[in-house]
Amino acid sequence: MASKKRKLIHLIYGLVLSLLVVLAGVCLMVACLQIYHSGETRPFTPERVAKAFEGIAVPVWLCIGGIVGGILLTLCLPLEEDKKIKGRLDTQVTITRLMKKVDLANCDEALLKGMKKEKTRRMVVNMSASVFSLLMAVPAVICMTQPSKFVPEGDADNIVVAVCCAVFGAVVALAAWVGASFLTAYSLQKEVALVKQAVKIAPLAGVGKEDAPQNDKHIVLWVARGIVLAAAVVLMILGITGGGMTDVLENAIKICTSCIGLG
Amino acid sequence: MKKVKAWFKKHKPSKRRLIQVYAGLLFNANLAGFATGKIYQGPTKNICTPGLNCYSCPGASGACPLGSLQNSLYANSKPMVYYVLGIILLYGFLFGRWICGFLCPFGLIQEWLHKIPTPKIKKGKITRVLSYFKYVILVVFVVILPLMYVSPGFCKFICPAGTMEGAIGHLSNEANTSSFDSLGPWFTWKFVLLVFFVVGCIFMYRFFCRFFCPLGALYSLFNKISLVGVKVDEPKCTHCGICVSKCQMDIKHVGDQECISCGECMSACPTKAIQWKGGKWVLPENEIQTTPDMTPEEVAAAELALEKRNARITKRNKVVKTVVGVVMVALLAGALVYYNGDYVMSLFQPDEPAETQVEETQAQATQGDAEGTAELTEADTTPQKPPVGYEVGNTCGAMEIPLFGKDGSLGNQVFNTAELSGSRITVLNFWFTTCVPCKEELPDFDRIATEYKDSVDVIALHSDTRRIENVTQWIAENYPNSDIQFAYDEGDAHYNALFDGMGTYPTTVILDENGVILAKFTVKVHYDELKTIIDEALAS
Repeated sequence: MASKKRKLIHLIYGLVLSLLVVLAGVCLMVACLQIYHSGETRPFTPERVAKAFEGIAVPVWLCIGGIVGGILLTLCLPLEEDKKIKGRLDTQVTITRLMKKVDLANCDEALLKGMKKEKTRRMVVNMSASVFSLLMAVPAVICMTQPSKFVPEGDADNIVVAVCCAVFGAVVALAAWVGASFLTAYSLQKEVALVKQAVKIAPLAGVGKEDAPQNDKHIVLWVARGIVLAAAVVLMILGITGGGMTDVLENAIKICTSCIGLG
Repeated sequence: MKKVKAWFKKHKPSKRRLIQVYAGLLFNANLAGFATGKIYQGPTKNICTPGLNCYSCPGASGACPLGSLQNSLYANSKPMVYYVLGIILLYGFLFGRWICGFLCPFGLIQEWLHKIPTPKIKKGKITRVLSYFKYVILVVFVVILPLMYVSPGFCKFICPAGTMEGAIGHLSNEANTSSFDSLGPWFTWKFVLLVFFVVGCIFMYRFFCRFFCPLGALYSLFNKISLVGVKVDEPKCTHCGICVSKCQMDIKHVGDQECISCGECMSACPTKAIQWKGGKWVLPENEIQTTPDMTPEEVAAAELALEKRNARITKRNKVVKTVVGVVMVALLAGALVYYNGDYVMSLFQPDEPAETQVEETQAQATQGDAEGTAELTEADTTPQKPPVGYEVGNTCGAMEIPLFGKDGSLGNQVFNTAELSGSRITVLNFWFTTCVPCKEELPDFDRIATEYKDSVDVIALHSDTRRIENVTQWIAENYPNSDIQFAYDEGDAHYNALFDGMGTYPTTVILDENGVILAKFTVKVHYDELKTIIDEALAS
C-alpha cells in the first residue's frame, strides 16, 4: 500500500483512539465523582463500586479494543520511520557560542546596543513573571497550609476546594511564565540575528574549534563530586547511628492509608 | 520466516528497556503480596529504592525515597532526615537522572503508556516552561507542607504511584474488601489525578516525569556531577542540534537538568560526539591522537598501542559483562525466592480451617521473642458467642495487653479482653508516633475516653519498632493526663493476632461488652463516627 495511504489510515486511527481514550478517562472520573458524592452512606462495598463502574464498561472496552487494533495495525501496516531529523539548537546556547567568536572591541556600537537592549528586555519580562508567580504563590501556600483562612473548617471537601484554589493560582502563574517564554523567544530570535551580523562584521581572530579550558572544569567537577559524596556518607552515618533506618522501616512496613487516598 | 525474524530483530527490546523491566521487578519482587493483599514487612524496607515506587504497594521490596523524606520532615525525626537525605545524595552523586531513564518503575509505565498509538503532543516552548513546575511541587508539597505539620503533601495530594500501586493494588485483593468502607473524597481526588496523568502520558512522552515528579527535580540537581550519564565531547561536536531535536525531553543541550541519560541521542549524532561518562576508560577508541611533527614510525607505534589497548578493553568488557550479567540474574532470582518462597511453599500445603488459623496466629504471638507479651488464652467458642476472627461480627481474640503506667513503666497493669466486665465497651486503637493520621485522630480518642469514662475503655496500642523510652516520652509530652490507656504492642503481637498482619495504620476496633467486634476502621476515624457507634452499642 502506498505510504501516503498508510499515513492517512494511521492518522484516522490515531484520532479515533485519542477520542476513545479521552472519553474513557472522562467517564472514569465522572463515575468516581458519582459514587462518593451521591449522598449515599457507607459502606461502599465492592459490589456497589462495581455497579457504579458498569456504565463506563463500554468506553473502556472500546479503548482496549482500540489499543489491540493499534498493535495489529502496526504489525500489518507499519509506518516507515522518518530518518531525517532536522537539527534544532536552543537559541540561548547558539548566542553564547557565537558571542565567543565576536571581537567586542571592534564591533559596531549599534549592534552591541541592540544586543544589550534585548537582554534587558528579557530580564524585565522574566522578573515580571517571577513577581507575578510569587504573588500567586503566597496565597496558594497559605491556602494549602491553613484552609480555614479561605473556606470554613470542616470536611475533606473544603480541603479539596482549598487545593483547587491553590491549583488555580499555580495555573495562572504558569500562564504568566508561558507568556514570558514566548516574549523571551521573540527577543532571542532578534538577538541571534544581531549576533550573527556581529560575527560577520567583527570576527575574533584565531578562533577555530572551541577549546574550553578543560582542566579547570575537571577540577571544579571533581571537587563538587567530593563534597557531595562526603556529605552523603556523613549524613548516612549520622542517620544510621541515630536510628534513622529504624524510622524508615517503621513507616515503610505499615500501609499509610492517607498516603494512598484511603480515608 | 526471514520476515518474521527480521521483524523480531527490529522490535526486540533495547538494553535500556530490559534494565527498566529488571529494576521494576527487583523493586517489586514481593509478588506474593499481590496474591495475599499484604505488604512486605521485612528488613529490606529500611533501604530506599532509587526510583518512584510506593512502599504501600503489595509488591514493594524497599522504601520510597520521597515518602520517607516527607515522613521524616513531618515527624521532625532528625536521624531519619539525615539518613534519607544521605541516600538521595548518594544516588544523585552516582546516577543523577540516569535513574529516571533506567531504574524508575513509574518511568517505565509512562513509556509503555506512550506507546499506545495516538497522535502525540511534541515538546516546545510551553513544555519547557512547564518542566519547571516540578520544582514548585518539590518545594511546596515535599518540603513546606510536611515541615508545617500538615501532612506528607506529595503522597497525600498528588502521587499517582501511590494511587496506582498502593491503593488499587490494595483494593484489588479480596482480603482487603473492608478498605472499601474508607473510600471518600480523597480517593476521588487521587483517582481523578491518576486518570489525568495516565491520559497525559498517552499523549505526551513522560508527562508526569517531565512536569510533576519531584524526585526527578531532586536528581536533576546532580545531573552535571553524577558519575553515570551522557556527556558531549566538545571537540567533536558541530552544534548541529540534531540531538536536541531527537530527544523527547525538554533539554536545551545534552546532559542538562532535563536529560534523563537514556542515550537515545547517541545514535542520532552524526559525529558520534555523545558518549557515556567514563567511556574513556571502558570503551575502545577509534582514532589515535597525532600531531604534525610525528614521524611515520611514531604514528605506527601509536596505532599499535591503540590496537593493543582496544583488545585489552574488549576482553575486559566481555568478562565484566558476563560477571555482571550473572550477578544481576542471581540477585533477581534470589530476591524472588526470598520474598515469595514462603507463599509458594504454602500453596502446596493443605488448607487449615479458619478458626484453627486464628488460634495458631494468636499462639504464635506468644512464642515471639518480645518480652512481656501478654499470655493469650483459648478463645471462648461456646455456641452463643460468634466465632473468633478478624472481621466485624466475630469475637475478638482474648489476650492480655500490658499498659503503660503513669510513671512510664510497662506491664504492671494489664487489660484483659477475656475478662471484659460485661458492661463496658472497648475501643482498641493501633498507632505509632511517626504515623501522621494516627496522631491526628488521638485527640478524638482522648475526648471519647473523657466523655465516656464510666462506660468505655479506650486502649491505644503503640506499634513496635520504636524504643519504649521514645514512646513514653512522647506520651508524657503530649497526653500527660489523658484518660486513654496507652499500651505497647511489642513485636506487633496483638496487631497480628487481631488482623493477621494486614499492616494498615491507623486501625481501630470497637468491641462490645462480650468482646464481639462491632466496628473496624482501617483508616483515620473521627469523633462523630466513634460517638455514633458507642451510643448505639450502649443503647442496645
